Amino acid sequence: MLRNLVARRRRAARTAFAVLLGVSLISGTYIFTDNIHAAFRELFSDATRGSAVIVSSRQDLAVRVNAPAKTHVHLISLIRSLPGVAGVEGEITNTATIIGRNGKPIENTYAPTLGLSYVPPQFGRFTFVAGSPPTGPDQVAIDQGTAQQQGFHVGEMVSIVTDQPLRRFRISGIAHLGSVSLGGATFAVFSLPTAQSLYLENGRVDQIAVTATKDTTAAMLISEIRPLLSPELTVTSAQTEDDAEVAGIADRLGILTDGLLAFGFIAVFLGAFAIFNTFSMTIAERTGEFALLRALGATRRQVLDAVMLEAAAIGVAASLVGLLGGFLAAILIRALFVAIGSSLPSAGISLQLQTAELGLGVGLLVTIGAALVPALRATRVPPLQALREYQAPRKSSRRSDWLRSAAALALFAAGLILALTGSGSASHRLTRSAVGAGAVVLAIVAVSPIVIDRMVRIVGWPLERGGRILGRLARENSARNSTRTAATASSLMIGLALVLFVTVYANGLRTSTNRIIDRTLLADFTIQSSDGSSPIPPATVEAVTTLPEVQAVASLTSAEGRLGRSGLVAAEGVDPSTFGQVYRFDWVHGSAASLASLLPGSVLVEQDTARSAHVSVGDRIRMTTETGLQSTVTVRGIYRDQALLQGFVLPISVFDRLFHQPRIQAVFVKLAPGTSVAGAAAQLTTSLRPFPGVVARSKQQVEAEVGSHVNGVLALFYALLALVVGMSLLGIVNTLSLSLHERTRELGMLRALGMTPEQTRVLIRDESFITAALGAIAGVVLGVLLAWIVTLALAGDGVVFALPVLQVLGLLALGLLAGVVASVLPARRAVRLDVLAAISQE
Amino acid sequence: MTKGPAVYCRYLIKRYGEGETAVEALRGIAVSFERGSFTAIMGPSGSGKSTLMHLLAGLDRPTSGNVWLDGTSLDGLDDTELTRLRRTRVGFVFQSLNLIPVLTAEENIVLPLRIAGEEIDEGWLERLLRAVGVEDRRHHLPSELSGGQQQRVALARALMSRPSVVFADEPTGNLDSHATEVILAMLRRAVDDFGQTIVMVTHDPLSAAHADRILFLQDGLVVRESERLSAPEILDSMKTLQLLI
Repeated sequence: MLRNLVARRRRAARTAFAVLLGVSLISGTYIFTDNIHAAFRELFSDATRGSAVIVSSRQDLAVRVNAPAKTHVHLISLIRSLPGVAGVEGEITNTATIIGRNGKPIENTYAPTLGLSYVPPQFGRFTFVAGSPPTGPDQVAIDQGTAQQQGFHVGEMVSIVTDQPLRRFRISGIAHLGSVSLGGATFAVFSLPTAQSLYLENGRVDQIAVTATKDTTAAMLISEIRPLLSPELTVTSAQTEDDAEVAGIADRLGILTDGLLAFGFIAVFLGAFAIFNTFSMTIAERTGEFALLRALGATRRQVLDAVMLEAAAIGVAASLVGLLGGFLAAILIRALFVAIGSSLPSAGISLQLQTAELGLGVGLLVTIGAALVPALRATRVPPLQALREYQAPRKSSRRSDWLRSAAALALFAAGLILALTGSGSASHRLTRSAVGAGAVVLAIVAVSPIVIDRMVRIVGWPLERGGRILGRLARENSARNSTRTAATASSLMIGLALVLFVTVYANGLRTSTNRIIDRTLLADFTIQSSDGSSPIPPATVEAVTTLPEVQAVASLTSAEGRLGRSGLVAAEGVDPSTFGQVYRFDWVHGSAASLASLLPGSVLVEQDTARSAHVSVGDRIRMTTETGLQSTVTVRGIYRDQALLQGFVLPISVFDRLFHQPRIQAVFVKLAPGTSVAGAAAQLTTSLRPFPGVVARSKQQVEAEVGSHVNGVLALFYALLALVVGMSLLGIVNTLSLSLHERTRELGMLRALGMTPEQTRVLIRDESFITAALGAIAGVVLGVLLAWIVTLALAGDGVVFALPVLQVLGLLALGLLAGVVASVLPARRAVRLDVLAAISQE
Repeated sequence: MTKGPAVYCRYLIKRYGEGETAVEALRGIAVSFERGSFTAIMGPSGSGKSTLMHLLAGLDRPTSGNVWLDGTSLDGLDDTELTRLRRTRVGFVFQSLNLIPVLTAEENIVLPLRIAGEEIDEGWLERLLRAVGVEDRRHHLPSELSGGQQQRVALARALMSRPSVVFADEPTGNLDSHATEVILAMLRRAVDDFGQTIVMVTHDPLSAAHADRILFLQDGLVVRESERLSAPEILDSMKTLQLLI
């Protein structure tokens, strides 16, 4: 039986390709994330190498760590006096943007720009490749990557923005952190006193690294240090700290990797369609062979085993190659990230056992699962069939059609109900509607073989107009095996539906974001970093407050925290006395008085966070900062805003005390009445000149900026979806080739009867077009339906259903075009068909 | 219709392969088929009879020599031109699986004309349907017809375009004796009633006995040509020529 595979190499290869792609994508995702985790782990352990314990209030290195922390230097001397302590060093980790030779800040999206204090070699961190550590207040050491990229040398002057406006420093040395690529991250290293003057107050540090004497363990040091600490400080071993930081990154990359994995599984699922089709067809073709086997005494079981063995062989081979493909996929995924403007650190790429197991397991299971039904059909071939000619499989009975339709309808209804009746937080409703949407898709896939005949007739109608016999032939051929056409069209349908769903959903999200900003933002200008998400130096506030055009200035400070049992959400700090002048809350429960009464001990909660935390106005709830500090607060108001103020809002006085890493996210500027907006814009730009990378945006520009973030994510999705659609195209090619192979004799006869090569091409193109048109139309309808379901589920959060007509039409055209493209290769082969060989074949 | 033979060929040689392994399927054949004649080509397998038919029908190209179909030289015609010629000047009846399974009997009959985009002569269609006795089954799919009925539909299709010549390649090879008789009688009537030229490749003496003329092929050459013979006479000729081995 396995010899069959060798004989049908080409077909087996094509079947296997679908599985291969899916497995590649899944294992590629794991290889990619493993690699990033490994890189970050190495980065952190290099950074903390040598230190036994760390007293810290810092967040992880991957995210910007920015604003002042309050560890007093006198704590350092207390720790130094403890037994078992070999060395103690205070550290500062913050941000610093180096200005490139072209006068523009060196920034890479999602990659940190670090400002660090120098620590001696025994505490890890730096390896100098040129020059020496910074000493005076005007010296800096920069990272090797930046130095190489910009051609900076020791002794040169370089401009750097810290919490202070632009300042020039002399490069004392060039260093790197550990051995991994920083992936676009840059750093500037200052002497500790310089760093303190730039970022904090004298005598304060972010964290304290402690090394132990030879016979002292980290645990012993921790138990000694802990009693010395004030409640907002923590002490952890360097190992634990690394683990926590890596886990934090895993969390942040989680959404992304989940998305990638989802695509991997969709690819495998679509692969299952291709496998099902191929096996159905090869088994139909080999009916005689199975009958002969049965006539020669093989039991049904033996026939089944033989076919399943074949499937398993394909599954294993495809998965193994797929694992290799995973490496390629990992590289491509990284390239994709670079393409959308973010780079990540990299360590050596390696395949974890777990990844291999998962890839192999999924590939094998799906192949065997998809081959099972065709294989069972093979066992039902009676031995006598060997003596008869092959006949096309009979259509399923009307009764089973009814049962199937009823089941599909029930599934469809259940899916709709599930999707539309959710309550609670947005993420909960989103999950629910996603499951419901999945059920709707399955229902449509299940019912497709029954309705496909009629669908083919409708879709193929234009091809047959004017009595075109080729159009009619194409239509009949497509309807000839409804299961096959249905499976092929389904995979294109799912691919296109996903593209469309993402498009419509993103469009709705963008529209709703714009509406929110329109409704809530009173400020004429918003000062933020050019990428819209990086923090900006606090000194920018003073830089604009004094301008005569400005009536009010209010800053928005951000960190992350939890409210009750909500997940990690944005925590915002505002000054209640000024914030109302630049921002109008969209109250669900509350009024302008709620903002005014935002005293220490109170909190305003965004509607969605309120849902997931199960709180309403008047409730008291525990708020937890990311460093683990807790405080009980009273809910004073609930508002709606999924664009600017997600999470919850605290008064700035409390915020600065509780959060050790507050970051100024934006500064809102309201102009005095009668001021020229253009003049003010020019004034603001001038005032912000010492802060490269910081810009003042009008309301429209803020909206565009928020929209462009959606676009970035969209680009990533589209790249993956292109893969999925490409796979369904491959499915069409595969099915078409197989069905043409089945009809070799028929094609030969048509050619003998006077069908020209060109007409042959047209016939095949029409067949392909019909399948693609079915998939494209169904895909577009389904995509819009899914988007509608999900936006309806999220309607309460202001997500609106906005149909991008142009994109919908474009996708439809793309799907149809896909059908034409898919037919090119099979048609070429059919045209080259040797007419004589075809008709002589008995 | 042009004058002269429906189809004729000169010095037809067909060689497969190159050098030492080359096989000559036809080694120089010159035959002519008059209009309204019914010719049987006989010979053992490997004698070249199918190859000859393929060359005459423009389905394949000779290594050397030339074929004239209804006065048109096939030499130098490209694939599309040959195809266009076949559409209207040539009819085919193959041994089996003649029909397109998704089209009805009637649609199969008019298929070549539809492919060529030509007018359908409804009167002629009705006459043919009646002549081959499938007028009551015209809307049936091939799978709903018996083997004999399928071949009759195929014959009607071959006649539909009033071609210069109909090539029948073992048209009764898959049929029982009764159905065979019916088909052969219909071929005969097509010649007698419609003046159709028919060239039939067969190895069955009983079939060949219906033809006006019989060509015996052996090793790529016409070894004997005779006027109408009875089945026993054909068998005798085959024995003398040692064509039965």
